[in-house]
Amino acid sequence: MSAPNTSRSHDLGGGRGALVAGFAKIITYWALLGGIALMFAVLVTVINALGFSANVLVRNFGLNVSGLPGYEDMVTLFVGFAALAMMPYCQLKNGHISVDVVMKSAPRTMQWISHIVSSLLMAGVALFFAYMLSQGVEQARGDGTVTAVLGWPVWAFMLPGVMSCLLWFAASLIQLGKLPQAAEVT
Amino acid sequence: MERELIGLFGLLTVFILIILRIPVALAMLVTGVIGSWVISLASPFLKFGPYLLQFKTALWNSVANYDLTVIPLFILMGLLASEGGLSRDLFKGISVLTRNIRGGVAMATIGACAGFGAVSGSSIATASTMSRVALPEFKRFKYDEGLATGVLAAGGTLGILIPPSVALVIYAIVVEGSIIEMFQAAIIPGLLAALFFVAVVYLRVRKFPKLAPELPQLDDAERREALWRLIPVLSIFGAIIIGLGLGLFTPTPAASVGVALILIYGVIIHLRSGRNPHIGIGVLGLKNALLETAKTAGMIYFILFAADILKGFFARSGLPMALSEWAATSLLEPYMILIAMLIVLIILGCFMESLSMILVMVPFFWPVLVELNGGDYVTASTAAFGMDVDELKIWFGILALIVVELGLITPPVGINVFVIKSFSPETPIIKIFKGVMPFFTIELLRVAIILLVPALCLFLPRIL
Repeated sequence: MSAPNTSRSHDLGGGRGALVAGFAKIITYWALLGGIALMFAVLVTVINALGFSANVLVRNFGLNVSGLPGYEDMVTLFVGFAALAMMPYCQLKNGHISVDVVMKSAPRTMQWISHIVSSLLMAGVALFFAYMLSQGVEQARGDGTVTAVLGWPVWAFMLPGVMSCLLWFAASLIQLGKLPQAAEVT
Repeated sequence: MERELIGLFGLLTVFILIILRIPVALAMLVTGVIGSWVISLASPFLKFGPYLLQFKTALWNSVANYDLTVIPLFILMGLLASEGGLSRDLFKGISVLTRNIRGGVAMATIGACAGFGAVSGSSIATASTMSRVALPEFKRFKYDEGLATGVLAAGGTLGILIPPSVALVIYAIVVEGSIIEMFQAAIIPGLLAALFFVAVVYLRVRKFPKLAPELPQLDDAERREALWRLIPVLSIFGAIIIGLGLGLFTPTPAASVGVALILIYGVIIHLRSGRNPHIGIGVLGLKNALLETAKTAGMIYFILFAADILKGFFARSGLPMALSEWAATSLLEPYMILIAMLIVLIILGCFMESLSMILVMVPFFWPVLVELNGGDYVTASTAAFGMDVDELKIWFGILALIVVELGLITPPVGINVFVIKSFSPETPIIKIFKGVMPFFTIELLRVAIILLVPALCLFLPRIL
């Protein structure tokens, strides 16, 4: 069982190598942007929790401190964006769980076939998600779907998800040339 | 029957793809989608076109879900605790308290695993973090390698059960149960595991004193420093666990407050050290934690989404319903079926990762258990297991997670054992497995006790 984080890669040509490195950088920054959105969700939740706690303390004196209205909307949207932004990085770092019990002792050609099939499948899935999500964005925009309390348009948060899926597709293609090390476990 | 057969074939396909090292989530997703297409061919009223349209919003709806927001937050909290050195402070502080007991370092490791497991929520993260912290100490004090690595591998499994645990959250989501009640239910079995592990260390060291040499005394300044640094760690961990246990926080605020407290503490320590990159949480530490969170959270979100698609396919195939109908009409003893399910989980645990097992197997086992118990609306007095569906959910969840966790230390895979091996490459794998065996045996005893005394899980959710 493994989720190897280092890879044995083929030598890449200069131009292709620079392209791969460029995409890897974009994917990493995109994941960090997701991380910042996650930190924002933390901030919003902590402010809300502080508001509620303060209210418990001051309500005996006839005062009132409210929580952050619609904080659940904000947390849901920001974490939703963050989760999708993290998918390409997870793919880039081979973070998906796979089981090595049989394949680690299989012939190398067999390991390559399995790896190429799974990378291509993953690339196909990511591209399919990008297309379907773009349709979903159109639908949410057309329907005027908004969040329950804040009334924020949902499509605006779905749209970066399309970018995430496209980067996920790129990460899968980058993975094509790299065979995960069988014995490594993280 | 045709649809059920397709469902059964789908289940088999998932396992075959997983064995061929196709990522588990991808295996589930591809089987779910292709299986649903095959079903639409066999049963034209289950059209494939409308099914495909759900993907316009399914991925977004799956990730933009308030109940799931707790997952990346708990992961981030654990990683920040690790980056901030809280695991090291916890271990060193407990080590001071157990220093005069023979085997004290091993006991401190179990205590620190339980404490760190509470915030990291992941067994593998607990095993790897504590290995980094405790292995050098074990080596310094010339502890037996088998005992040291066995303690770390077994101690790591505490992470899956001691709340707040990501596995508990995911189980609660799969069976549509209460996350808070699962957390409350896991407290006593989790503490019981830690106590049992300490007892194993005590008894082994008493029988074979060479396993754990006596330690030299610490000077007062060193002792004070270690205990002083334990205070903020225990305060942060305690606030989260007690707040959740007593229902003062819901999981997402608890995780957010945990992230904020650990970050503030880590930054203060970092600044006080003169921005030493190895102490506390600096910009680099935060960046590392966020990227590691991205890797783990990305994996969990994708596998949860894929599991949902696979579950949809199984529902279309009617296989879980057929199994539960069979269970309702069979004359098999409910407890025997429950034990058989737990054995299946232990065996699968030797080959599969815990999260995948929960997601693939629980949707099959759960409807069967409900039928065996007497159906959805049965009361405790007439139920086969003597409890209503909500309590059955909790009890089975704890049992399932314990046996799933057993898989982490069961040969031939035992992922925790391999994690420890990667930190102690000179220790033969057989020696680690041998070191783990006493803990494995005591874990079986714990399963038996919880099977016989469900109140150990149900007591806290009932009174809180």
